[in-house]
Amino acid sequence: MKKLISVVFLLVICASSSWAAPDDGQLYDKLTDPRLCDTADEFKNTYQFLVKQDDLGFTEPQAIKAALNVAKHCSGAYERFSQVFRVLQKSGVDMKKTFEVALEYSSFETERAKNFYVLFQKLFLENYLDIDFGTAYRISHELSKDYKGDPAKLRDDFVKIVNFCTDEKQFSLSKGLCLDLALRLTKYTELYPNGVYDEFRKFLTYVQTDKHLGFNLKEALNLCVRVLAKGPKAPRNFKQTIEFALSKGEKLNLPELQAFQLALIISDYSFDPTKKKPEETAKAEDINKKNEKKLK
Amino acid sequence: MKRNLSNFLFLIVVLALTPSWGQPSKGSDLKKLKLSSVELQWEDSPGAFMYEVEVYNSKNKLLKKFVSKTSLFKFKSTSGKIKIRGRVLDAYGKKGLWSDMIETEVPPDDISFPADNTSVISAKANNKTLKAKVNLSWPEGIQAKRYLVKIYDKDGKVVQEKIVFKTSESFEFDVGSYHYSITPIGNDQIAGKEIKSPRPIQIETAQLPSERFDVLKGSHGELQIKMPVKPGMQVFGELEYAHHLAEDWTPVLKYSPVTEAIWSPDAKLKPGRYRVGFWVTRAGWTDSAKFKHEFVIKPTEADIIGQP
Repeated sequence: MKKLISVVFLLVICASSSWAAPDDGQLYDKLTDPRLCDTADEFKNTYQFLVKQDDLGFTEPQAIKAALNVAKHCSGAYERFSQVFRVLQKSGVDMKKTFEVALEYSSFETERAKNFYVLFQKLFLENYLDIDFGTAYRISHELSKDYKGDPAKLRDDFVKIVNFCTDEKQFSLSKGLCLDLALRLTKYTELYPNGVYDEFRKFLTYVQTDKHLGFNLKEALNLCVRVLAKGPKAPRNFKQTIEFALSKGEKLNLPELQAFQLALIISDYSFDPTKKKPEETAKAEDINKKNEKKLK
Repeated sequence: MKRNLSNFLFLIVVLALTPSWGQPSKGSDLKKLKLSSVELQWEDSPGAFMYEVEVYNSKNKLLKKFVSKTSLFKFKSTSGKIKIRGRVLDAYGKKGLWSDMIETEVPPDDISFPADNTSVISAKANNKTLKAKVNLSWPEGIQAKRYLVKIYDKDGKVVQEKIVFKTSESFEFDVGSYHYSITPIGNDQIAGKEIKSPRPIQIETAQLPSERFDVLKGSHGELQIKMPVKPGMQVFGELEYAHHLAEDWTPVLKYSPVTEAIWSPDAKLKPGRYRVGFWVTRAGWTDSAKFKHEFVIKPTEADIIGQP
């Protein structure tokens, strides 16, 4: 009887192990190292995509060569390539140029490529900023492949600002002013850990609703950009100074105009460009330590 | 024995000098030297040893006096009417009677156009006046005081003529082919030979003036172009396409003629750049210049999200 139980037990173990074998994920760590690429999928998908593009006029060898060029840019290359290609092709861009730009973006990180095809649509399409092709194309490049900061954070800010600004229920700004606002505000995205948009909305609400600050929309927006340009502490510094300067309980008790001017000065001091970023300081310390070790 | 030359027949030949108009004149003194050449010959008179000739102008002022052993006289004279008389001298120096005064005319020399310039004088008629203004010029004629300019149409009919003092003049022409001639006129209204210019004149048809095509926006923001309306006039058009970031334009549609009063692009046009051109035509006129307008058809968000 004991022998029979042990045989059944072994069979159950063997069976369970043989069922688990095809699912590598259950046995091994996921292959998350970005240096490891799914090039077969990238090649196949790109090839299949290209042969469908009759206007491109690629022969089979040309399609294979192009697919190889995309596939060599590792996982996600097809997705980056095809998304950029689709947006440009659908907008009426010359096919040769479309292919060249899409191929270039297949070599960038996914978030950077995404910036191009998402922001281009926000800039170019009639239901968003509706600007001319040349300008939309140039700005899209500037905010994607040429952007030095975190592309995803920038994109998130830009899209939110454009959506907010072009929403007729919220705003009645012209599309030109919306573009200007989005470009001016996103210059400071990198100063804000979570992007500038939320701070902008909060500060705009404050500026528009505060009983001491009777600004029209354009003035309010200009003030927002001016204050937010000095980093995430500037809005709070501005508000605190206004409260302090106008408080009747305090000795200061300034007139509104002077209080406003003082608040601007104080908020301007919120950003000190002479100081280094924490990561830069850390890097500098590391370099110093290494140099010291070498000397020893 | 007295011989009376008035009984003699005589022959007067007036010849033009080799033209000297090609040489730039350096002053009024030089101009004065440019005289027409006159050649005259008396009929030989038996027993005549010498001939004496006097030349007077129309106001009976003695201009020249010649004594020659031959009956042929060559001299230079101003243009106009001249009077000549002559007599013979015998071997003993005895002078015969003066002949009667013979009146004759010395015309200015012929105009000599440069033979190597036969290029067409061309011009376009003005849009509004439908005429072209052309400045005609010609070489100076020796002893010419004025010039008769005649304009001939293609059938050889004189359509304009004018007497002018200078060696150039502006004329207004209708559309067509012409040529012109110059007749020099000297003193005493004596006209020289009419010489045709080797350069024809060609006036091209008048071009219709550019019409106004108003570019408007429809109620939904769509492009609208308002066609001009004038009797006898038709509007033709063409639509071309170009991709963004490309230079080549491809014809898409032709409108011959445009039938709508207000043109709008077809809603089904594919995204890209478009260029629409309109011009007006009228029988017998050159088409007006093209009015061109560029526009862009953008995709919708749904177009982009959809499958390629």
